[in-house]
Amino acid sequence: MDSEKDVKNELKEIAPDFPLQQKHYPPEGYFEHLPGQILYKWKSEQVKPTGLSLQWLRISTVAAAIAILLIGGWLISKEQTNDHIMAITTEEAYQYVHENIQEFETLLEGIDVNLDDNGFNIPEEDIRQYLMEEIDGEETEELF
Amino acid sequence: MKDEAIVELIRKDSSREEGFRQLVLKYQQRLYDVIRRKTRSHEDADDLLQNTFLKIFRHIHSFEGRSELYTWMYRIACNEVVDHQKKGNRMHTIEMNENGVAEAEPFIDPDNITRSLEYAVSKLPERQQMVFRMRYFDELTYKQMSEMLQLTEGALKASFHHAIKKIEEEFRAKQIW
Repeated sequence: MDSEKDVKNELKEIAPDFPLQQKHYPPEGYFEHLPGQILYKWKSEQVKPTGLSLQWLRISTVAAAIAILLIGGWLISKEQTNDHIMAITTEEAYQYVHENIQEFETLLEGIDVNLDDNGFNIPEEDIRQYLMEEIDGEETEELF
Repeated sequence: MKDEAIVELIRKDSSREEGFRQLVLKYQQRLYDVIRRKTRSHEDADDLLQNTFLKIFRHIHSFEGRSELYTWMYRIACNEVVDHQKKGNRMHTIEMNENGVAEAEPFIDPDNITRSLEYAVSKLPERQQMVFRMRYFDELTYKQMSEMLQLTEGALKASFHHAIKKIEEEFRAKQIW
C-alpha cells in the first residue's frame, strides 16, 4: 500500500532501527468475501421499510386495532343494556310483586276507601259477591 | 481506481452498486487495520468494519469533497470504535491506575516490542501521542492529518519526528535495543 510504504520509507530515513508496526491479519479469504457480505446487507436495507415508515406502519396498525376493539365493545355493551332492561321488566317484576305482596296489602289497608263516597252507592255485600264470582273460588295465592 | 471515479460511479443509480464494491475493495484492508488495532478480536473488528461501510454507503451523498474521501471514512471508522468502546468493550493495552496514569511495569521486554512501544507512546504528551498514532499506526498522510487536526503538514512532521526520537531514547535507556 502506498501509505504503508510511505511511513516505512520515512522511518528508514529518520530512525532505521525503529520497529515496524506489527499488524493483525484476518482469517484467510476474509477480504475476498467481505465486499459481497457488505453489499448483501446494504441491499437488504433497501428492501426493508425504513425505520421511519416502519414506525408509522406500527402506529397505524395499533390505532386500527384499538378502534375495532372500542367499536366492538360499544356495540356489545349496547346490546347487553337493552336485554338487561327487558329481563327486569318481565321476570323480575313478577318476582318482586310476589315477594312483596304483603306490602301491597298493607298499603291498601292504609287507604280509607269509602265506596259510598265515590257515588256508586253499591252495597258492600254485592261487591263481595262480585269478587267471589271473579276468582271463581280459587285461592288468592294461586292467582299470583 | 481513483476516488473521484468511485464517487462518480456511486452517484449514478445504474452504477451505484459497482461504485460501492470498488470502494470496499480499495479501502477494506486499511480500515480493517485501523479498527483491528483498537479492538480485542477479529470478530469485533469485522462487525465494526461492516457497520462502518454501511454508514459510509448511507451517508455518501453528504460527502462534499472538502477533505479526502479516506479522511472522511477514517473518521466514521474511529467513531464506530469509540461507540463500541463506550459499550464496555475497551481494549486496554496499558493498565491505568485510578488517576488514569500508566502504571510502571517491567519495561524491559524485548520479546514484546508492541507492548513496549505502546507503553512508550502512552508517556508522550497528548497531542504528540495523537500525531504519532495517526501516522505510525493508522498510516495517514500528513495531508490527511492536516485536514483533521487543522495543523500544517510541517508542524505535524516535526511533531512525529520528535515523538520518534523520544521513543528511541526510552528504548535505548531501557536497553530494548
